[in-house]
Parts: sequence; structure tokens; C-alpha cells
Amino acid sequence: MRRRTIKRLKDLLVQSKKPGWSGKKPPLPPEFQPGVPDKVWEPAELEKTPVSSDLTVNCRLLREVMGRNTDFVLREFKVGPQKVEVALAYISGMVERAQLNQHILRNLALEYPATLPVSLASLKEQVVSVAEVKEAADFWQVVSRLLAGESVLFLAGENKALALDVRGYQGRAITEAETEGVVRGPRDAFVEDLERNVMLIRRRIKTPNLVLEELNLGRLTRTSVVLGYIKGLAAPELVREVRERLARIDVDAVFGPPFIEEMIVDNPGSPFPGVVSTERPDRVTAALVEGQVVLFVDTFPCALIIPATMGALLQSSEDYYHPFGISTAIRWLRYLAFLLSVLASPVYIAVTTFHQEMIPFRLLLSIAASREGIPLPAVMEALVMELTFELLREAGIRLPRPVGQAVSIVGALVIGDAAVTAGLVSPQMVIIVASAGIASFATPSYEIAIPMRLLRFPLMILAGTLGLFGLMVGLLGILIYLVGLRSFGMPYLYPLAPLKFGELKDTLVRVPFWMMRTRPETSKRNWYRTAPGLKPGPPPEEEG
Amino acid sequence: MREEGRISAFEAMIYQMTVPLSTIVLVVPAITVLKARQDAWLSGILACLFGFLTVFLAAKLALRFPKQTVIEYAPRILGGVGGKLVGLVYVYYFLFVAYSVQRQFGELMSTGYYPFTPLLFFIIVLTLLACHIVYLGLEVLCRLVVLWAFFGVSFFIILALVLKDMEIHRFLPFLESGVGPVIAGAITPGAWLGEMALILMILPFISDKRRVVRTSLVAVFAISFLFEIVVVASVGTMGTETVARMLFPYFSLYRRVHIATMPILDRQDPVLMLLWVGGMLFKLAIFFHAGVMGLGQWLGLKSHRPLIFPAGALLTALAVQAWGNITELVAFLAEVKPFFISFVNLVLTGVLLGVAVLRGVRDELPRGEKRASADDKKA
Repeated sequence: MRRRTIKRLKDLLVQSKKPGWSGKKPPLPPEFQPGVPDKVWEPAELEKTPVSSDLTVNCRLLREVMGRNTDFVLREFKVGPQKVEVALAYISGMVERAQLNQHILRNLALEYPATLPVSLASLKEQVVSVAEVKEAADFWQVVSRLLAGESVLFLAGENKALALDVRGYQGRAITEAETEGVVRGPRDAFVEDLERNVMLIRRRIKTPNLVLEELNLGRLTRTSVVLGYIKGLAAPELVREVRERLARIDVDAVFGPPFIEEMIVDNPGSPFPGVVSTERPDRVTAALVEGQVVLFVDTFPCALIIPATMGALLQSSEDYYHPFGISTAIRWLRYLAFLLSVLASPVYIAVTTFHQEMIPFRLLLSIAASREGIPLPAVMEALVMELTFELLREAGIRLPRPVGQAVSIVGALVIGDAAVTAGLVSPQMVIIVASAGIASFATPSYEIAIPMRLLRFPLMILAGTLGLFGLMVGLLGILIYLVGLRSFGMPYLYPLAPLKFGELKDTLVRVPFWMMRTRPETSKRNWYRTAPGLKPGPPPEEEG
Repeated sequence: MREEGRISAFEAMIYQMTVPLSTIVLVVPAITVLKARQDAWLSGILACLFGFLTVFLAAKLALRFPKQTVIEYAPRILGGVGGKLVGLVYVYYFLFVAYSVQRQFGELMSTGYYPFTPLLFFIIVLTLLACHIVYLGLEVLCRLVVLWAFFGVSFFIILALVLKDMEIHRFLPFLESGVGPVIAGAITPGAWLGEMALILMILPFISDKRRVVRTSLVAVFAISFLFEIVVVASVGTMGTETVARMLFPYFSLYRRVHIATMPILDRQDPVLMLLWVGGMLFKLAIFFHAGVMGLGQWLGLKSHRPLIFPAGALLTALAVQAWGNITELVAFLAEVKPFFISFVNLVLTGVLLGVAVLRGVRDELPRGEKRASADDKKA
């Protein structure tokens, strides 16, 4: 009795030290057991393996290839009165279960027409109520369709499999554009799902000549890339060129347009974007109608417009949703902001350091008074302030939302106010840096705002060491570079250099739509886009 | 050896205008006024006629050989040795103008704005930029000058602001010492306008060649008009005596702009300097390009790109050692350079044209040489 009690107490003690560990270790799932062959399947090998007419062979092979995955399902059941064996394979997260149950399993297993013989053809034609059905003859097709989210049906005695499109996976809803907002105009923006992005374009252009070709890039990711253009509008040479450049990409992974962009642009070392990246479907549509080429990449919420020009990068789709006079004014304001974002600090540095005679006398007095006692030369002052501004901007993007407020307060008060009060920077410098910063956010395209912001730093140093001459040398260098730059054969500063007066109608100004009679010269074909004499007005007065 | 791409006659016109513009408004007015005194404006008109003649001859010669540059067809006109010799003179002339531009630029920057920075620095900076342009080719060069022309217009608009200071009595008495000084004063601007004979080098790359004679003459007229504006404005506001003593009257003119209600417009000459830096850069690039391309063709090279940097370095050295100081440079520009460049542009071109006409050497201007017609676009 006592011994038994002691043993029980001992057991309890042991158990209390190892709670739950008293029993035997549960066996590992088969995949984790040592010695399971870990074969690497090459696409070429799978391509050489045809679908066998023996169902068990197929199932074994498919299990060997995919069986370790938790989301892989292989369901075997029998069809029709003849009880023919079939197997249905799918990836559980990528199909729509309801559809799978309703249109495949139920139709096959429960409601199979009694008189119909069981064959792949009859299944395809009369039983399975799924819209998109394709046949797969080898295992590479089977596996790639499976991984794209389709479900694959094997039938005993048939050396082909049926790929049934019951795809349905979770994605973000179509939401408002984040970086390219407009006051007036459509709100929808691209999402990560390629199909929905393509749909957004197709809804806007209802011509059979709109072509959306698909190809897969990336050996591992097999990312779908869609090349869109309008036949008869896009220059065939441009389409061919883009296609060729895409075809030579051979990488393991493509995670979005940037991966492609860097491999197809003309000047790989250029800080300026070689393609226009946008998240607005209306902008893409407008580009297509002007004969440009568009690229979509699956799992990335933006499209690439090819070719890029400086003018296109500085335009916003909103320009077309306001009256033309206002649009032109806003466009000019934006150009001004663009120049200001680059030039404000360098010009201020150059003028206050080297060319004080240019400043009107009273202004000079106030600048001199405020700069009195500032320990740093103007160029250092500006560099420090600009650096701080860039830091705040970058921090603002990364910060978790609740902390964002704190940073803006710290930025505004500490950097702005305290630095001035402490006599470290002059108030004028704060004004200049802040206005340059605001101006750079007025640039509609983030991709062009960033290189310009970076170029500001060398320009500031040049202005601080050589005055306006240094600034001019820097600007001339940039100008020469930009004039020499091309994007898919298109000069980067297109309607300006080379100068095309006719094309300035949609660059320098935004003329009313009834005056926008021609397409940009680059589209080459279908020159006229608007009928003549569309200018509205009162009807002509009738005689007598 | 062909440049890629083509340029339009309009671009070629702006290209031609850029050739003399930046120096003719800056250095030449003082020289002309020094010689022709208050009748300098008449010299301008005379120079314009001289420019017309030179450029007309050059355009006619160039159009006889629409697919070649003067370096390539000179041997066809004059025979092997003579042609090669003439070609060498042309090449030397282009490079000579290039290094004189370098020096003029360096002198103005170091005397006018940055007295403590060595001359060489400005020359090197300008030459590197020019090398970059020449490397990118003629097409880019033409696009750049067209862009620059937008800004260039503002050079002259601002001169309207000195109108109120002009006085007519400064142009009197009319023809005080006869026509002799007027002709003497016309030599320098005339020679400068003759620089537009550079059309000899770029004609093969122009797409609509038939318009070239007309656009060249328009270019000469436009530039002599601008020159006239500067001469009249500076003599009218500052008087003959003052202008004749100056080196760069146009800058002084700019400094005189004063409007009481808009003090921001006072003393904006650094802005002018900025535009002028660009103008000088393009002038240098144009001659540098012509010289290097000509040298490449003269030597029969497939590409002239390997010549760019060595030639740039050589020109920089020449620019530094060729003249002792700015006074020597200006004297040279007034007394020697006009005759040399007129010799090349007028005499040599005239001789080539004359011999070509006499011997009947010419190529046919290809028919239908124009841009894609409107029909293509409608299709």
C-alpha cells in the first residue's frame, strides 16, 4: 500500500516535471520520416512523362511530385453506373470549393447520366459544367495547371487528363488609387490580381483589336505577364521590340514590373524611369489609345506603359477631366513645381553665396540679418536641411500609423522651429527647403520625383562651390543626358527635343478635345482621332 | 561613316544660328563700334549681305553633293592631293574655331566672374561637356540647340527694358568719315556670319535638303538682326566712346536694366551668363563635332568616336597656350581671325564651287527625299 502510494507520487512528480510528455512520442507524418526519396523534378523530365492510361500510375506519380504539400488534395472516386475510377487533384487554397463540389463532384459521382458511356470526351462535353476545360497530355502540363489553381481530373483508361478551371482565390478588393489620386475622375486602381486588372482595361476599350497577350516569365515563379496593345494603333516595330526584349528574359523569379523593367529598358544605368508605372486604369487606357504598349505583371498592382517620356511622367490623368484652360494652368503649375523641386535650394545657395548683387537691396538686408550668427555656410546648411527632410520623408513611409503623428510634430517643431530659434539654420533656408519638398510631392509620378530629388544634392554642391556657373554646368549635364536618353527608341524629351510643334498640343498645353485631332506621331497609323469641325457652338442662323 | 539618324531643315537652321550667336552678340559689337563708330549699325547691314553671299555659296556647293561632306568630296573636285589639302584646311579651321571658343569662354569667366579660379578649370569643364555631346552625336546636338533656342529668345526680350535710355543723337553725325570705317567694321561680323557655312558638314544628315538654301539665308538674316539689336542698343544707351572701350558691351547693357518698381530685374547679368554658358557650350560642341567628324573622314576612319577625347585634350592645350592674355585674344579676334575664317568660308568654298561647276562634278539630289507623307499617316 505504502509502496504503491510512493510510486504514484513519484509518477506524479515526474509528470509534473514533464507535463504531457509521459507517453510515447507520436509517429512523424510520412513526409518527415528519414529516408523518403527527395527527388527534384525538372520541367523537362515532367514534360517527357505522358499521362498514363493506368490511373494508379498517374496517382502514384502525382503523389510523388506533389504529395508532400499540405494544400495538395487528390480525391479518388467512382463515376457513373459503370463505376469507372477517377481521381481529382487540386490545390486547396486556389480553387473555389463550392464550384468544385457543385459542378464536378456532384455531376460525376451522383448525377451521372445512366446511359452515357464514361469517357474523357463525354465527360468534357456533357457532364462537367465548368466553362473552361482543357486537356493535358503530359505531367508538366498537369502540374503547371494544378499550380495555377485549376483542378485536374484523371480518368482510368484515358491517357489524357482534364484541366478544369475552378480557380478562386482570395485577393484585395479594387480600391482607390493611393499614389495617383484625383479630385475628379474614376477612382478604381489596379490590384494584385492580373485577371481583374485586365478586366479593368477591357471594360474601357471594347474593340476586338485590343490584344492582351500572355506569357510566363521566371523559371520558378512562372509569373504571368500580359502585353497589351491595340492592333492598328501601336507601331508594329514597337510591339515586336517589346516582345523580343521580354522573350530574352530568363530568370528564376519575377516578382513584379520592377524585375522586368530593369531588364528591358534602353539605358540600364539611368536614374530616370525607362517606363511609366501607373496604378490607374484610365491612364493605361489613354496610353493604349495613343498607340503605346502596356505590360501587366501578376501579383503587382500597377501597369507599365511603354515607351516613357518626360512629358508623360509629368502628366496626371486628371488633366483630361477638367476644362482645358484649367488643365493647362494646373499642368504649368506642375511643371513649375518640378523645376522648383530641383532648383530652389541650389539657386538660393548660389545667389546668396556668389551673386549677392542679384538680390534686391531690402531682401538682401533681411537675408543678411537672418544669416548673421549662423555657423554653417549656406551650402552646408542646405545640405543638412535637405538631408533631414529626406529622412523625415523616408521615416514617414516606414512608420507605423499611430507613430506618424509624433514624427511630423517632431519634424515640424524640432527641426523647423527649434533649429531656427537656436540659430543653427536661417528661417529663409527652412522656407526654401520646405517649398522644394512640397513641390517635389506635386510631381505626379513618384518615379521621376525621386531621381530629381537625388540630383538636387550634387547640384547643391556645385552651386555652393562654383555659384550659378556650377549650377549651370550641372543642369547642362543633366539636359545633355536627358536629350540623349531614349526609351524603346522614343526620345525621352519627345515633343520638345526633337521639337514637334504639333505634338505640343498635349504637352505644353492641353487643348480641348475637339482640337486634339491627331494621335501622337509615334503611333504612325490611324493618324486622325477626331472628326473635323466638332467645335460646339450655336446652330447657324436660318435665312429669312 | 554615317551619323545615325537624321535632322530636319528647321533643326539645321537653329544649328546654324547657334554657330555665331553666342560670340557675335558678345565680342563682336565692341570691335565693330571701335572701327565704325556711330555708324556701326550700317556695318551690321553690310555684314548681313556678306553673310548671305558666303552662306549661299556654301549651300549651293553642299547641295551639289547631297550625300557627302566637304571633306569627302573635296578630292573629287580638286583631285587627290589638292582635295586632301583643302580638307585638312577645313578640319584645321573647325578645330581652330573650337579652341578659340574655349579660350574666349575661359577668359570671360575668369575675368568677369571668378577672378580667383584658373582659366584652365573653365576650359576643362566646358570641354568635357562638349565631349559628351559630340559622343552622343549630331542628332542630340541639334535637339539640344533647338531646346536652347527657347531660352535664347529671352536674351533679347529683356533688352526692351533699356529702350527708354536710348538717345538718337548718339548715332549722329551720320557717315562722319565716309564709308571706309563702315566697311572695316563690317569685316568681323561678316566673317562671323560666314561661320554658318558649316552647313557644308551637316547637309548629308538633313532630311529635307531642298529647303536648305532658304533656311540658311533665314538663319543669316535672323542672326544679323540680333547683332543689329545689340549694336543699336549699346550705342544708343552708352554712346560710341564707352562702347568702343568695352570688351563685352552686351553684358554692360544688361547691367543697365533698371526699373524702379521692380528691383528684382536689376543686375541680372549672372542669368545672362548662364544662358551664355549654354550658348558657348553648343558653339564649341558644333565646331568640335565638325572638326572631329571631318578628321575622321579625312583619315578614312569608320568611326570618329575614338578621336573625341584625344582631340578634346589637344584643343584644351592649344586654347591655353595660343594667346597670352585677354587683350591679345581680343586683338587676334579683331585683326586676324576674321580674315582666316573668311578665307576658308568664302574663298575656299567659292573656289570649290567654281571648280565643281566648271568641271561639272555633282551628284543628283535624290527624288522624293522628304518625310513620311501624309498618306502614310492616314493609312
